[in-house]
Amino acid sequence: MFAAGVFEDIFTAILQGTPPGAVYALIAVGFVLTYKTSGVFNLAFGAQAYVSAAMYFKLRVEDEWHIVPALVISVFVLAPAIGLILERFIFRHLRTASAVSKLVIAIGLTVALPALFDLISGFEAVAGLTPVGIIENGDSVFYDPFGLYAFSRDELMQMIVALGAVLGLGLMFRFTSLGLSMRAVVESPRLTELAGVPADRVSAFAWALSSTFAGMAGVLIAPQFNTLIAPDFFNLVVIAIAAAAIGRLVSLPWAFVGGLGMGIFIALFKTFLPRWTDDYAWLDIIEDNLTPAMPFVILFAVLVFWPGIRHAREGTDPLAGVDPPPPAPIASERSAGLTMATRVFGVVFFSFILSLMFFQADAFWIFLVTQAVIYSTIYLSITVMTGLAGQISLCQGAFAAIGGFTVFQMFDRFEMNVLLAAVLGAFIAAVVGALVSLPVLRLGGIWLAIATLAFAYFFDAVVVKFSWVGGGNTSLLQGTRVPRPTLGPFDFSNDKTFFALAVIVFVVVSFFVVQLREGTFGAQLKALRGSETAAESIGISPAKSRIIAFAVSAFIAGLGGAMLSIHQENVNYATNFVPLAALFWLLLVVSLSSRTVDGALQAGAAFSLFDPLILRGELFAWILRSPDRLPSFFPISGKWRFVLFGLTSVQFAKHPEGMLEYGKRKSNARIDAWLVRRRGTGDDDDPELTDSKSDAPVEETTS
Amino acid sequence: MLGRKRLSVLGLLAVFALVGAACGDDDSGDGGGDETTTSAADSSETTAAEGDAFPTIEGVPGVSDDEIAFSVVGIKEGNPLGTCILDCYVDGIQAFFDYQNEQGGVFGRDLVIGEVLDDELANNQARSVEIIANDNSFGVFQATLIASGWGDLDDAGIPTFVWNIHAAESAGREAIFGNVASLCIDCLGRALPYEAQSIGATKVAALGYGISENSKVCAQSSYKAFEKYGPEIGAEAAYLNDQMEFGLPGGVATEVSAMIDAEVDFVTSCMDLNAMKTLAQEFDRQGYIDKVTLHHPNSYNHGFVAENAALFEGDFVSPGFIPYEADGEGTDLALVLERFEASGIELTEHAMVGWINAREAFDAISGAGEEFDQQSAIDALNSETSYSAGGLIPSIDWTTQHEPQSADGGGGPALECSAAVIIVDGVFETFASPETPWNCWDNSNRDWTEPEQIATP
Repeated sequence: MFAAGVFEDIFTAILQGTPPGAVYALIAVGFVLTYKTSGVFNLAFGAQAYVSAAMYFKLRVEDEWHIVPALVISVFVLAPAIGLILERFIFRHLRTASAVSKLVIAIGLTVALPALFDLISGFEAVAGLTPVGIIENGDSVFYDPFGLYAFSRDELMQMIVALGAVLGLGLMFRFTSLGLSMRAVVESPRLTELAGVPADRVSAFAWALSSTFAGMAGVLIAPQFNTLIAPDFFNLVVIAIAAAAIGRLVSLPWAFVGGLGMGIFIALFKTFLPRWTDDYAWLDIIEDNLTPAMPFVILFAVLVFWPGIRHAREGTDPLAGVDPPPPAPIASERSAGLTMATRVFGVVFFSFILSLMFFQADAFWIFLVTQAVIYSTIYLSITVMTGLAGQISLCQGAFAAIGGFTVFQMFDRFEMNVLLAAVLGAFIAAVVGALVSLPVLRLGGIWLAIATLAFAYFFDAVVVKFSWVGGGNTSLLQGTRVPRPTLGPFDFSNDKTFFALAVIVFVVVSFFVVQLREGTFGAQLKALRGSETAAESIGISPAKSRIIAFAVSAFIAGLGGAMLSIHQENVNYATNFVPLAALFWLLLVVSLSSRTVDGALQAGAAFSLFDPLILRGELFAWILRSPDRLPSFFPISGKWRFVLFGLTSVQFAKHPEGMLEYGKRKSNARIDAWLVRRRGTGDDDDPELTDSKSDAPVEETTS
Repeated sequence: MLGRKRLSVLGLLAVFALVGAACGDDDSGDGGGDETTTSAADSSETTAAEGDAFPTIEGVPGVSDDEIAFSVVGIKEGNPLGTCILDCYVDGIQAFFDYQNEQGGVFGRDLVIGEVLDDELANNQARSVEIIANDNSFGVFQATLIASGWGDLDDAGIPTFVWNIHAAESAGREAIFGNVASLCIDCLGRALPYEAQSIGATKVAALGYGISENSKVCAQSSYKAFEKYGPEIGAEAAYLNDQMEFGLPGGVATEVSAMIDAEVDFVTSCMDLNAMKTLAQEFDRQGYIDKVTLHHPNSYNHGFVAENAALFEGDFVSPGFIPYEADGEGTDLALVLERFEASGIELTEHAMVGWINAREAFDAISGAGEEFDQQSAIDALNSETSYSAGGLIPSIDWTTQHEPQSADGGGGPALECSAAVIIVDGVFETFASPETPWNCWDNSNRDWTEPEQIATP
C-alpha cells in the first residue's frame, strides 16, 4: 500500500493542503474573534467579507485604483463602518438576547448585506474579471521553499495574516485591558459598566475590529474565486465553522490549527484515497460519495463527537435554561367579541380569495397562489420546530426534498398514485428527521442549527446524487417529472382542482398543528423551552420530545415538498430545496410569526406573491388601473426582497413571536381599549386592555 | 441577497447542466447531400413578396395584422457565471428580427419582441406560466440556467426556441426547439479523441463535478471514449475524476499532482469556464502548463480567453455552432457578422444562439404558410429533416431529434460533427480549416475513422 516516496507524497499533500487550510484558518479566526468580542455566532461573517471584497474589486479592478487607497477604503473604512452600524443599531440592543435570536439575526444579515451592497453599488460579477489580491502579481509569482510545491504571493499573504492575527489578537486578549474589557462586555455588560468600563464604546470597538478583520479576510480570500459572488463566502464560512468549533468558538490558536488541519486532512484524503481504492474496493463507496462532501462531513462529525461542543451549551448560553416560556398566541387572549369579529373577517376574506381564484384568476395567479398555499404547508414544519419546540433547523429543505423525490421515485418505478406516494414521502422524511435528530439532540441552540445545516449540505452533496434518490441517469435524460394525480372522480391535472387539494392539505395540516400546540405534546414543548431541568423533574423526556418534534416537522416538510413537486410537475430540486433555500424559509417564518398557522400562511404568501405584487408592480398597476401608469422604476430588483426580509429578521430578538403576532397583539389591545372607551367603562387597570402590555417585550408578557 | 445567494447557489447547480450539455456529443443531422441551405435573405424575399395581401389571422396569440410578438425569458440577475446571457441573447434575436423586418417581415408582419423577462435564475416556471396566462405571445425564446418552465410551455403548445443546455427538460418535447438537438450526454464521441490525436497526446484525463449528474456522466463518457478509441489513436485513458468540488473552493492541487504523476498531456473537462481557469493556473503553478492541453466545454468567450491567453494557449474549445472565425461559405455567417457589426453587437456565444433561435422561429412560421398558427408552426419545423438555421448549426432532423440519441449512437443523426476552435495568442482559430470548419464522422459506423471536413454539415 505504501509505495516508495510515500513520505514525499505526504509532505507534498501537506503543502498542498496548506493554502486552502490557511483560508479556512483565516475565516475561523475571524469567526472566533467576532464571537469572543460580541457573543454573536456570526454567520454574516461571510457577508461582511464579501462586501469588502466586492468593494476592493470594484475599486481595484473596475476603477483601476492603486492597491493602497482601494485597500484603505474597502477594509479600513467600509468594513469598520459596517461593524459600527451593526453594533449601534442592532447588536447593542441584543446583548442579553438568546444565542438563537442572535443567530437568526445573523442569518438575516447574511441575506441582506450583500444584496444591499450590490444594489447600492451596482456591483455584478463579470466572467473573466478576476479578483486580485493585495500584492502585485499575487497569483502569478510563486515561491517554492521545499522544491515540492510552490505558494503564490496571495497564498503566502493569507498565511501570514492568519498567523499574525492569531498571535496579535491572542496577545491583545491576554495582556491588554482592552482585550479583557471586550470579553467582559460579552459576559456581563452591566457588571462591566459598574466597574467603570464604557460598555458601549468597548462593544463598538469590538465590532469595528471584527468587521475590519472580516473585510481583510474577504479581500485576501477573494483571489480564490474566479468570479465574486456572495454564496462562495458563505459556503467557506460553513466549512470554517468546523475549525472554529474545535476551539469552542473561543480559542484563536485552536481555530487556526483547526483550519490548517482541515485543509491538510482533505489534501491527504484526496491524495491517498484514490490509491487505496485500487487495493481495497470497499473504499470506492467513500471515494465516490464522500469526497465532495468532506468538509461538511467533518463539520457534522466535529459537532457530534468533539467533546468541547457536546458540553458547550452551558458555557455559551448560561441563561438558556431559565428563559421564560413564550406568551400564548394573541388569538387565545382576545375578547370573545373580537375573536368573533376576527373569525367573520377571516371567513369573508378567504371566501373572497377563493372565489377570486375559482372565477377570476388566470393560470398565472392560480399557479402562484397554489404555490403559496403549498409553501405555507412546508412552513408549518418550521412552526412546529421553531415555534413550538424552540429549536432552529436549517435542513427543512432536505426533508421537503425527500417528499418530492419519493413521489418521483414511486411513480417512476412503480407508477404509484402520487398522492399515496406523497404520504409515503412524508413518512420517510419523518423517519429521516428522527434519525438525524438522534446524534444532535444534546447539542441544542446554535449548535443544533449548525448541525442541521451540515446535514443539509451533506444531503445536497451526497444523497441527492444516489440514483434511488435523485434519479441518476433517469433524471439526466428525462428530469424528475411528476404527474398530477387523479383520485376517483377528481382530476387534479386541472389547476383549479389542484388548488382546492392544496388548500385541503394545508387546512388538515394546520388543524393538526393547532391540536399539537394545544395538546399535551405542545405543553411538554412549552415546558422544555421554559426549563429543561424543571421539565425533566416532572417526567418530561427532552430527548423523546425533541425526536418527536423533529419527526413531525420533517413529516410536514416532506408532505409539503411532495405537494410542491406535484404542483410543478417536477421535483426541481435545484430551484426548490437547496440548503440556502431553507435559510430563507426560516427567515420569512420567524420574521412574521413562527408560532401560528396564519404566520406560516403569510410567509407562504410573501414567498410566492411578494415578487409579482410588489416588486413587479402588479398591485400598484391594479391600484392605478393600468400597467402603463406604473412609474419607470418598476420592476424593482428581486434583491430588495432579501434586503427587506433579511433586515426584518432583526426584529426577531425583540419580538421572537414575529412581527405579525406582535402587530396583532398591539392592534388587539388598541381595539379593545377603543371598545372600552366607546362603552364608557374604561378600566385602565384591566391587564387585557392596556397598551403597555402590547409594547412590553415578549418575555414580560407571559400569560 | 439570500435571494441572490440562494438563487446563485441553485444556479451553480444549474450550471452543471450547461457543462454537461457542452460535453454532450455534437451530433448533427444527416448532412445528406440533398440538404439545401437557404439563406435568410432568400427566404425573406419569398415571404415578403406578396406584401399586404396576406389574410387576417384571428385568435392566435401575439399575432396582429402588423406584428408577430414573442416573449424572451432569460437569466440576468443572479447569474452565478457572470457571463452575458439574457442581454446578449436578446441582441442576437433583435439583430435577426431587424434584418428580417427590413426584408418585409413574414407574411406581411414584423417580428417583434414583446416582453423580456429576467427569470432571476429560480423563477423560470413562474415566468413561463405568466406568458401562457398573458396569451399575447406567439412564441417564446429562452436562454436560462434552470429550465423549469419549458414543460409548461410545451404542454401549452407554444413554440419555444431555446439555448439548449438542458437535456432533461427538452427531451421528448415537440414544441421545444434548441440551437442544438436533444442532447446525448452519455454518447461516446470521436471529436475529443481526434483533438487528442492531433496534438500527439498519449495520456488523457477526464474531469467532472461530483455534485452534478450531467457533469459526472459527461466526464465518464469522455473517459470511456478514450478507452474505446484510445488504442486507435495512440492515447490512453489515464485519469478520471468525476468527483470534483463545484467551484473548486479548495483548489485542485492534489488532482493536478495526480494527473502529472499519471503523465497526462490532454485533459478533457466537463467544468465551467471559471473552473478551467483555476485548473490551468494550478498546472501553471506546478510547472506543467506547457506540457498539457485542455479541452474547454464552455469557454467560447473571446474576452475571457484574451484575458488568460498564456494559460490557455493551444487549448480546444467547442462552440455548438459554426465559429465566428470560420469562412462560412454557403451559410449565413457573413450576414450574421455584418448585422452584428452594424448593430455594435459583441461576438458572443449567446448572441449567435439568439440569432439561430430567431431564425428557427422565422422558419417555423414561414413553413406553416400564410394562415399559420402556433401548432402549424410547430408542425412545420418538426417536418424538417435537415434543418441548419442557415448553415449555422449541424443539420437537425426535427422529425426524430426531440428524443436523445442512445449512448451507442442508435436513433441519432447520420453524422457526428464538431467545429472546435483552438486558442492561439488569446484568440480563437478554427481547428479544421476555416473553409471546412466541421469535423464529421459517419454515425452508421461507430468505429474509429478519420473525420471528413465539411463546410456545412
